[in-house]
This record gives sequence, structure tokens and C-alpha cells, in this order.
Amino acid sequence: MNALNVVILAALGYAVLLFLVAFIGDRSTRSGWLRSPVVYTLSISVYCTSWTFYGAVGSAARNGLEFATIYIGPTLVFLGFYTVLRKLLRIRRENNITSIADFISARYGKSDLVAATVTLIAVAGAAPYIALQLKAITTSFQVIGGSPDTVGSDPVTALWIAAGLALFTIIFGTRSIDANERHYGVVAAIAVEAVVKLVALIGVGLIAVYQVADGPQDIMNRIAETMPPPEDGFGVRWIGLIILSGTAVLCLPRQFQVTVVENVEERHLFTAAWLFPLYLFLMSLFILPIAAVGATTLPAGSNPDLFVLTMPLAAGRDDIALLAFLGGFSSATSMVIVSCIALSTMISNHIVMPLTLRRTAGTGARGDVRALLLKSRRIAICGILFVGFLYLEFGPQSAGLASIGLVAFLGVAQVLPALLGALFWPRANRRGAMLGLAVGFAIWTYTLLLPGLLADAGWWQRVTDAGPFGIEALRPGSLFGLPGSDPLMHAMFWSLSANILFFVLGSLSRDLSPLEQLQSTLFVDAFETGQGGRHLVGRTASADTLFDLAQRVMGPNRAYGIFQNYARSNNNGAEFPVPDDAFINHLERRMAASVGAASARAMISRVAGGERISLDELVKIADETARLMEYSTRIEQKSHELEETASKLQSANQRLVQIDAQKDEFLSQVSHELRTPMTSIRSFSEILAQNDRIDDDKSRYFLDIIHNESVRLTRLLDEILDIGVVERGDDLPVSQIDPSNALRRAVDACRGLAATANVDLIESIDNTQSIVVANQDRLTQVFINIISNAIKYNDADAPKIEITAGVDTAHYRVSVHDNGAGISEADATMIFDKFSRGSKPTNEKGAGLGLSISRTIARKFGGDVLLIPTAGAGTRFDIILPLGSSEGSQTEPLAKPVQLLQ
Amino acid sequence: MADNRPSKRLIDVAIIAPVMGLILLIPPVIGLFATDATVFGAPLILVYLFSVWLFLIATAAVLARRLARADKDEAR
Repeated sequence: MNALNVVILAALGYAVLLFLVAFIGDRSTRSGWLRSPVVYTLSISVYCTSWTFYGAVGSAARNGLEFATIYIGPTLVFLGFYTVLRKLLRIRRENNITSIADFISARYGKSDLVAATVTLIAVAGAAPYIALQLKAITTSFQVIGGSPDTVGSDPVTALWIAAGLALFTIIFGTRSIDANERHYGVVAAIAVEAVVKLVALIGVGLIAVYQVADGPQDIMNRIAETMPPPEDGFGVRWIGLIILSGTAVLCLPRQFQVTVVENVEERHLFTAAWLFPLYLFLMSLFILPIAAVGATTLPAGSNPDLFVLTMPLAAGRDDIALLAFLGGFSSATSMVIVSCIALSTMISNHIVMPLTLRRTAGTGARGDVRALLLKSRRIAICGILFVGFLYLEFGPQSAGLASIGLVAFLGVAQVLPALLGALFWPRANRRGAMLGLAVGFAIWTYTLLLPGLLADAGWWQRVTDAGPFGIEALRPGSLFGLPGSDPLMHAMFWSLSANILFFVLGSLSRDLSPLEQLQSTLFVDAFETGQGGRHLVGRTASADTLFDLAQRVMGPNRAYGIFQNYARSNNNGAEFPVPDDAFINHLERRMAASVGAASARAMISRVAGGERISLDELVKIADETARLMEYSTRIEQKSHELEETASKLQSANQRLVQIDAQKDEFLSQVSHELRTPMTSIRSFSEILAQNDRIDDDKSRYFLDIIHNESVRLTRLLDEILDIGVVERGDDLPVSQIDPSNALRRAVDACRGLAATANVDLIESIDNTQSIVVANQDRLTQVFINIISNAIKYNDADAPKIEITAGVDTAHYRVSVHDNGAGISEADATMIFDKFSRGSKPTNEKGAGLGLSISRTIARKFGGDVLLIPTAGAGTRFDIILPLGSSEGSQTEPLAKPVQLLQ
Repeated sequence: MADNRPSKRLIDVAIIAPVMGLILLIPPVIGLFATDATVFGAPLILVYLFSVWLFLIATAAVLARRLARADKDEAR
């Protein structure tokens, strides 16, 4: 009895310590250590309940490594934190989510039906689980109190423990109803408990390794001796348990509470991502050694679930046993406390609140909502614990209890499809979520929960053996004839497959409603949409009505603070904000932090009317991606255009450079051309000026030279001047003339040149009278220019030039075709440019202005000079002139001949 | 740009890491080590399981460190 007193004292002392820690934690919300990532991580370890604290060793003793799956699943989930958990945290922060039920319901159109369903699933799974914790505490009490033989029902202890836990949870868990006001006190206490359970388990492990056994080598031998053959352990069940535990760490209401809702800062997750798996690793490090030592040293028939306590007791280490007891106590209490907080929030927000709203539908929500919520949460906490207690005392006492942890895991796993759909599948809708949840929940209840609960009932035994109403296909243990040797895997397969199937089919069966669409975008694109896209809902209400509502939910001070802050931050100077759309949405989200999204929406709708979401706006935000894509297409187009412009610029630049080079060449040539006659003029005039005794013949000869050179100079300058004149295009008097006259004059003028160069001129000029509008002299100049070029550059052995002239469609056309070497393609493009001559070296010295001038002149008359590609050798230039009728259509478009020629 | 936010590659690693971890820890891969063999007297399967586990924790730590740094830069 002395031992029991010590244990009671220790437990009480520990409880007082926890109260103290929680009290200090609540008081010192400002202090740093409570907001550290380590405390956050430790609070997540509420995952390790007494089921894992005691039960892991039991599981290891029976099934070897299988216990590790319960830790590996969460390890993998936290390894993938960046994808799922971080998104959960972000969405919770943006939408003030209060629980997993609230999360699911907010995503699927703020539906209170969805929220209530998730709540129901959570409660159904949690009650037996809580019973298990109570059982663990009472049993450990009896074991360590020195009466291990009388382990059994102990309702008084269980009731006391339940009452104590209810008290603690109510004091520290229901101080405030706002999810944004975190339960610092509770978190602090949980963190302390997390440390205690880790230290306790490691302590027991060290005793096992170094006191009872002879060090690591001996331990390994014992493990090899006691462990079942490893080949058997890794089948479907292994995979199933990993998936199940990974699901549980996301979906269990208490895990969602500590990981998502109680999270203070997103970056804490970056620490928890590795620190929590490390915690789990340390927790499981000594499981196998303890199991092996227990199995080899304790008397046969000892309950392996209690090895953690009985092993140190048998080794005479009462102190370590007491520590282990406190560790188990910590595991159980922290789980119960957090579960109660999470579940009571869900019950009050998603069951009590909607019912109240419905009951008062006609009258409008009256009364102090805040008080109602707090009261309902306190009652819910007591209710949950009492149900757990009843379950412990009157529920099935057979083996059912041991696997109840996994039963609860599979229960909340039904939320997983809806949860992942909420995060990643934009088309997932309320119908799909409801169908999936309902079907999965029903199958889970039928194939796993009820068989556990009713294991002792005779009528259920008949259902199990023969199927309900004698239908064998519906036997809960082997649905549709599927062999159910492992009830957990059997239930997992059927419930989750059906759940996913109905979730997908239901979601595909209809389009999203506007509100669902909005929420879907806010959730799925949580990292992209940010603050935009919120103010789409058109609602109005007077500020007074809104304040009245807000203060009933959040209390007058808090509500006043929200109104004032909003007014201040929106800078309108007034005490109350303008109750516009943006403010109503703001208020709804703040209220959602207290009562959940569905209830907040229902309450706001009471005073402000239902939301009318503008479809256009909705489409706009829903098509965020589409818009981005359009934008990028436009940018692409722009860059394409830019590229084109750049390439145009480049070719223009190249041409400029080319022309510049031509100009330089021309200038040097012109200087040279001018210099030669100038030199002779200067030198001969100097001779004449300095020598008096030059005879007349000689001086006449010199003067002749000077005169000839001057004439040459003048001609050169005239030519250069010509360019300017023709370019500017002024003073070119035109009249109606017959171009054949000009051509004949030109041919006559060239005969001398042709004769000197031995060129055969063949002319066939159509004598029909035709009229063009032009300047006779200039036109002659053009003809002379082209013909003399043909003569000058003809390097054939028997040079000849054919000149034909006639009228085609609307033009007078003159062709000058020689049999020379022709013009290369490269030259063809620039031959008409000023200062340009063919690249071929010739002995001809001209300024290279002839063609350019000719073409410019011809164009002045509406015609053109064209280089016609010839099939054989030689070069052919065509001069075309529009036929000037009496209407004087000298602006005959040039396009036509050009087209003809191409 | 590349320095200011988590690189696409880093995010891809963060997404694929748990999948690779799962593959390492489920049959058939884990079955390869489920034999009676021992390493320094310890069953091979124990050594394998706990080493992979530690490796995954280290991976998570490295990933978290890099992603946190990148996220912090982004927030600035």
C-alpha cells in the first residue's frame, strides 16, 4: 500500500506541475520559448499516445517490426511537408479554419452537412480511443501500485482520472472560442509531457540494455531469438499500416489541432519536418530491446503490453518504473486533452451551432452566441470523457480494445480523399465529398467498428457468420466474398476504395456552384490567389446590425476591436467601418475563427442576405491560370514582333553600312576624277604663267589641254549636280511627247560611241504613235545613259546591242539587250544605287551615277528602269513609261509592270 | 530570380522525396533485406530499416533548411 501512496502522490504532483505549466503558459503568451519551433514539434508528438507508449512494445513482442509502420507513415508525411502540410497551414491562416471538419466544410461550399458528417466520424472513432487511454492509466496504476494480479476493472480510479482530465481541458482548453487565440497553456503542458514520455521510454530502454541484458550485443541476440522470422512481416498489412498511419497524422482531429490549428508560424513547420520524425525515431529505438528483454526475462504469460512497467519493476528499479508510469500517464493525458479540445470545438461549431441557428431561424439569432459556444464546448468535453468512461466500463472487454487505435485511424482516414481533393483537385465538390464520406463511414462502421463493439453480442455473431438476413455476400468480415483474414485490411480496402470511387464520381456528376468555385480557388490555389478574389460577394447590412452580431459571437470588446482596427486600417476616420462587401467578408472570416466557416456564413447571411457571387468576377479569378497563360502568349507575341523589328533594323543597318561604304568609295573616286583634270590644268597654267618664252603653238596646245580638262570637269560637276536636281524633283517641266522621238535621238547620239567601240547596234523601234507624259531632254538622257552603258560595259568578242521599243498593255517599253557578261545576282540588287558600279573590274571610269539618275528620272514620269533577268547571256534593261492618254493618267500604278516582270 | 525562391528542382525533390522513401520501405525493396543475415550481430532488417529512417530524417532536415532559406528570401 505504501507503493500505491507513492504513486498517487507522484501522479498528483505531476498533475499539479502540468496545471502550473499550463497556467504559466497561458499567462506568458508573449514569452519566446512557447512560440519556438521545438515546442511546436513536441506538441505534435501528441501522436504518441499510451497506445503507442505501452502498445508498441506489446506489438513488437507479438509481431516484430510491425510497430514501426505506425511511425514510418508520419515520417514520410513530414518528409513531404512542403507539398501537403505547408498548404494546410497556409489555408488555415487565410481562412481561419478551426478544425478538420471546418476545413473540409469550408472547402466544399461552407456546408454544415459536410462539417457535421466529419464531426460524427471523428467522434465515433475517438470515443473508444479515449476509453483506451483511460484504461491504460488505470491499468498502469494497478500495476505500479503493487497489485498486478488484480488488474481489471477499477471504475473509481477511471472516473477520477476522467474528471481530472475534464477539469484540466475545460480550464485551459475553453478560455476563448477564437481559433486564432491559441491554447498556449495546453501546448506548453503537452510539450512537457512529450519530453517526459520520451525520457521515460529511453530510461526504460537503457535499463533493459545495460542492467537486465549485457549490453547491445546481448540485446541483439535476444532480439534475433524472440523476433518472428522477418520474411513474414512485409506484406499487404505492412503497406496498409504505413498508409494508414500517414493518413492519421494528417486527419486525426487532435493532430490537425496541434499541427495546423495551433501552429503559430508557418516556418515552424520547417523544423518539425525533421525534428518530429527524429522524435518518432527515438521513441521507437528501444521498443525492440524492451520487448526482447521482457520476453526473455519475465515469466511466461506476462502481458507484453505492460512490459514497459513490469520490466523495470522486475529488475528492481522502482524509480524507472515510476518514470515509465509518468510517461504513460503523459501519453494518455495529452492525447485525451487535445482530442477533447478538438472534438468539443467541432461539436459546438458544427452540430450545436447549426441546430441553434435552425431553431431560431424565424426570429434571427438571439442571445449571447459566445456564451452558448463556451457552454456547449464544456458540456461536450464532459460528454466525450463520460462516453469514454462508459465505453471502458460497459463496452466489449475482449480483444477488441487492443486494436482500437487502428480502428480509429481507419475511421478518420475516411476524411483523406475529401482532404486531398480539397487541396489539389479544383473540380472536387460537395456532392462528391458527402457521398465519399458517407459511404466510407458506413462501410467502416459495418466492417470494423461494429464487429469490435458488438463482439460479445449473440445476434451480431449470427450476422457475422451468415450475413445480415442470411445474405452471405454482405458478411461484415468478408464483404462480397473477399477473404477477410485481416479484418483491418479488409475494411481498409473496401471503405477507402468505395470512398474514393464515390468521391470522384460524385464530383464529376455536377458542376461547382459559384460558392464552391470560389472556395475551391482559394484552397487549391492557396499560394497563388493570396488576398485577391475575396471581395466578390455582394452583400450589405448596416454596421450596427453587424456589430450586434459580432459582439454576440466574439464578445463586445473583441468585436469593437475588430471594427475599429478595420476602420483605422482603411483610413476613413470614422469609428465604424463602411459595411461594404470587403468588410462583411472580413468579418465573416473573423467569425469563422470562432464558430467555423459554415456557421459564420449562415449567421452573416441572416443579417446581410445571401451572397450573390458575380459570375463574371468568379470566372475571372477561377481562370487565374488561363489569364496567366494568355499573358505569356501575349508576351511571346510581343517578343516575336520585337525579333522581327530587330531583324528588319539589322538588314536596314547592313544596307546603311553598304551605302556608306559606297559613298566613301564614290567620294574618293570623285576626288580622284576631279583631281586629275585639276592637276593638268594647274600644271599647264603654271607653265604658261612662269615661262614667257613659249612659242604660240605650244601655248595654244597647252590652252587646248586646259580647256578640254575644264570641259571634263564641268561635265563631271554637271553630272553630280544632276543627281541633286533629279532627286529633289523640282523644275522638271513635262509635256505629252512621243517617246520614240527621244529614243531615236538617243540612238543617233550613241552611234559614234558604238562605232568607236565596234559595237553592232540593232534597233527595231515600233513606229506607232504613242504618247507619254515626260520631259523630252531628260528622257533622251535616260535612253542615252542606258545605251551608252550597254556599249561601255560590253566585253563580248563580237559586241552587239538590240534595242526594241513598242507598246504593251498600258506601257511604252524600251528594251536594251546586250550580249555582254551580264550582271551577277549580288550586283543586281544594288546596281541602281547611287555611286554604284558593278563589282567587276572595268577600265571604265565613271562616277556610277548613270543608272541611279536614269531610274530616278523614269520614276518621276511614273515609269521605271528595270533589270530584266535573261535566260542566256547578256544584260537587259527595260525602260517603261505609262502611256499618257488625254486624261493624263501619269500616275499609272507601278505595281503592274513590276508584277508582270517578276 | 533563381536565388529568391525555391528552385523548381528543389521543390521537385521535396515532392518526390516521400515517394522514394515509401518505395524504400515497402515490399518488394524491404523484402530484399528481410533475411536471417546479420550485420555485426544485428539482424540485417533492423539495420536497414533504421538506417533508411535516419537517412529520411536527414533528407527532411536538408530539404527543410534549403526551402526555409529560399522562403525567407522570398518573403523579403
